[in-house]
Amino acid sequence: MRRTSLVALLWLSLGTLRVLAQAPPDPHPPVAHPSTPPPARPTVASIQAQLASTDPATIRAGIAAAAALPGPGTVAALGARIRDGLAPELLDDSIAALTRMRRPEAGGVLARLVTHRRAAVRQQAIAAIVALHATGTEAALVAALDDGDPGVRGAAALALSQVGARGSLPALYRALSRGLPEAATAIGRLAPPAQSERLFALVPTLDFTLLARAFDELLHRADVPAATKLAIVTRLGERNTAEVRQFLQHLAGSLPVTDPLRQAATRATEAAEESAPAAATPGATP
Amino acid sequence: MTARPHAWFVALLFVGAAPGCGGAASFQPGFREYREPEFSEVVGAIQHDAPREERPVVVGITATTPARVFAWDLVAGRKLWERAVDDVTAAPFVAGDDVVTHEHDRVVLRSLATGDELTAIDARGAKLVGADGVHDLVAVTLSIGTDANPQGRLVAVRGASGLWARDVELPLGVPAVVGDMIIVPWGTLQVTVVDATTGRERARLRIRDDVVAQVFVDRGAVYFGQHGIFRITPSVQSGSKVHSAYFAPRARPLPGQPLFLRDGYEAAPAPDSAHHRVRVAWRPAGEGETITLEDDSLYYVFYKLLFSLAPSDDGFHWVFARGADIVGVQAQPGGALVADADGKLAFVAAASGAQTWEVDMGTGPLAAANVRAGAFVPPAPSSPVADPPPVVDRLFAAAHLDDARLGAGRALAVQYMARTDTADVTGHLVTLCSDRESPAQVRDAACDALANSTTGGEHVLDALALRQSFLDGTPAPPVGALARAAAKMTLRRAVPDLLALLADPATDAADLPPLLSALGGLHAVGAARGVEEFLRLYHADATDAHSVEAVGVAAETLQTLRGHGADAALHFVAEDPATPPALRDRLAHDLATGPPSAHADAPPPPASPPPTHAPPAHPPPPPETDARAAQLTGEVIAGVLHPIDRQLQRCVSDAEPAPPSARAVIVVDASGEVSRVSVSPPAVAPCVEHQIRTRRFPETRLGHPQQVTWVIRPVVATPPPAAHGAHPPADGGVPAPHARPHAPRDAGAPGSGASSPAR
Repeated sequence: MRRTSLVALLWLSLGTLRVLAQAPPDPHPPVAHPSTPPPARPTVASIQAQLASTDPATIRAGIAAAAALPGPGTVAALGARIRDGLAPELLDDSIAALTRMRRPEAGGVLARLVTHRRAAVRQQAIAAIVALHATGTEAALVAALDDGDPGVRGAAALALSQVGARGSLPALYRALSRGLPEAATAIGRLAPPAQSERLFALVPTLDFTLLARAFDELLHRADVPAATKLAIVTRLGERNTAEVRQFLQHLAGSLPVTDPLRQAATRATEAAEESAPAAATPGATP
Repeated sequence: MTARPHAWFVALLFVGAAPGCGGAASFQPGFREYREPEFSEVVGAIQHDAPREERPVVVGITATTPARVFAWDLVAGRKLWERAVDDVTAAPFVAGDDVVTHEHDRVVLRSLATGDELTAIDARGAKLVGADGVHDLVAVTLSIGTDANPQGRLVAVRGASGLWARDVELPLGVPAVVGDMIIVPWGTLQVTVVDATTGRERARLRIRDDVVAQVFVDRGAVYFGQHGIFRITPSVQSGSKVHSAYFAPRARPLPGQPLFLRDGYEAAPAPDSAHHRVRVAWRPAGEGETITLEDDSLYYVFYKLLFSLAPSDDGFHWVFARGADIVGVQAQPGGALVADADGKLAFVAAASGAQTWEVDMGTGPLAAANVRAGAFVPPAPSSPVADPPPVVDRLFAAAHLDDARLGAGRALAVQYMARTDTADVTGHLVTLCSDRESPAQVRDAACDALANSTTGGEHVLDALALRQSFLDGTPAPPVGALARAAAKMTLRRAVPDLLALLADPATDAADLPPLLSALGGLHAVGAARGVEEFLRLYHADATDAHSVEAVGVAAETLQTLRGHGADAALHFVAEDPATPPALRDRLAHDLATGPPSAHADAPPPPASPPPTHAPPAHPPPPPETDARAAQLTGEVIAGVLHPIDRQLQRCVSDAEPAPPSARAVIVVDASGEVSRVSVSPPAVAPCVEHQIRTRRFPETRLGHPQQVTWVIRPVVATPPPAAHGAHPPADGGVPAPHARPHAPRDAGAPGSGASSPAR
């Protein structure tokens, strides 16, 4: 799917979402001084005025004030200010503020920032979208898997696993086949246990150190039946390569002594080492 | 049998070579140039004695360890001999009946017939410059002295015997032997004729206006020169190329900058010298005072590529690609004889560039070869030779060769290909410009040529529709060149894709300025919103020179598209302290000078078809100078109403109850004034009409009012529709251009409302 249409979809879903998000409590509420009048409470208008300034300190104060007063008006004001252009550090602050505000109205400007020219901004925008957890998030994240920047792609893949987007598995498999390491991690976290077969099918064509990320996640998941895990370890043991042996050793070391999976991994490693040719070289495929 | 050089000869050259040695004085300062009657007598003798009968051969050296020098008989079609050699510092060449090489500290003369060593010249501290011969008489020039103070040594040898040697205080060039005369260029301007037997100088000429570095004999005529060639005829007595039989090719930049004749004062090229692979080849033709080049062809070798060029102008004939580097070439009547690094010989026809003959010499890999083909003509092919592909296709194939060493040659092929302005060539250029695996030279040449293409718009549009995709493994298209081509071709259908690429972070920052310029050049009024978004979003966030330039161009494009309607945005950016200072200054200047005139860079009207009838009897009407639009288009209307888009949307969304949309029918008179506005539903009419009446439309050539219809949708949190859909999202901002579905290419630009002229 084209990235453009997916971003439009996100924009739609975020725009129509009704989230009853509340402003987080201010950790440092103003303390009234008995001898001075209390400071005027910020309003949308006052925040807009601050944001309209050309003075960085004033803009930063406006951003902070907007973050402390989440609502459609302040989100709109901050979004408009972002679109009018901000220096990099103020843009970073603004995205962080939108993230904290957790308002669905921020979807539009965040969707725009997912295609910002700076990759760091795109990554930040992805994190913010995940924080909103809207229904269109998955589509936007799948679109970001196609990004030209590896950092953005990696962040998108991990975010997909973070939001439990199982529908994105086909795209993640494509990204994995293109060598995106984080896609392997996400697949390991998301794939139904039965899909371990699909991972095994990729072993002959992909670097095992890439696939190991997926197996590692899969074998550490609580929702994967123990029998499935044991079967995976057994099958991996049959692939007697240095990388697989190293992986199984690492797996065994990460599990409690009494864990049957640890014992299976240890047995598979030992059996593999006994039958391994003396000069087995990394990367060799039996 | 291998004969060793005679000891007395070595000793003579080592000990006794000195100015004056070898008989009567020569190369002396006091010798009078053009001294008569000797000069005329010598010229006559040269013209009489110049014809030669030479055995057509190829001599070369292999790229093996140890290297092997060989001779191949072209007529017999067999190898004559092969000898292992050590430490060869100059590729072998033929001189009379000898093969001359420079091996370690000796110049070795071998029999062309047998390969046996005849004699050797002590060359300690010297470099072999050149040699020539007739039968067993051979003249060899050496470079001695230092680089800062080069001097020359001329050695005459007959058979296995040295005749004499002479050291000269100025450098000597490549000599030629004619009859019993040795003709030697020296001191860059002079040519001396020496008696081969006595070493006595018989005549001398001096050229005032050109460099003389080599002398050579071809088919009964003697030539000398370097950047151009003189034929020795009585007119050479003028001492000037203007009044002599002279020819110089048209100067043109060629990769490697090969000389017409190699510098005859430099050492002969080593076997691994690039000279063998990057050079020109030609053969003089013409008679008397007229010099041309054989087949009107100047052959240019660049590794695997052989170009045939027009000598006297910048014309190009064809390109031919070998599977291996060409390491030797000789122009022959009817074509070029080439020897390649695989040890094969081939003949390429001058007329077509088709290969008509090939033979494997069986030498193995070759480092260098010198071809002395004489009168050799390859046997006619046993079967008809297929016509080669069209030249454009051959150029494309050459430009697409997967060999990074060929970058400059491939780029040259691109330049020649681009001289043909056809749709197919544009397609080829798109392919080459898009190939990120190609050397930069090739891509740059292709992209430059593509940007100047005037046909093949479909190829440009197709390429602009592509996007970078990690998942699909597709790279970003070459946006800058494509955008320039789109502007050059007035491809308004490219605007939606250009806008999408403007918002695509995969678009290279260096491509943004030409992209934005193209939007301005295309007068894509509907793109103004996207340009303004870009300008605002990045004016304080431009982190590199390309991005800063892009923001500057965005401002100017916005001015082009909106005129003074862009002033607010430009003032905002120019007055923001976060804008880079240089950019602020640029914008201030733009604001001060105002927008470009409406028709200064208006796109040219579409080309009219060529006339199919005789020209009209009456003179044609004067060219169209009326810059007014024919009528109001959707793009123009969108541009005029853009500044009040938000107000119009609020008119609808603030109504109670808010209608799903509103429709305004606007009547605009020919001067651009809004004369009537009808709005439905009536609940929003006052607000909408008030806003619309604040706008003024451009004057048209219609001469009567025009009715246009504009649809307004309220501010809702839904994605914008394809047409007239650029509504801001719920937070009051504007959606990214990329978020809009692409308008159809023939829609000109997205965001226009429905309009229709009044009847």
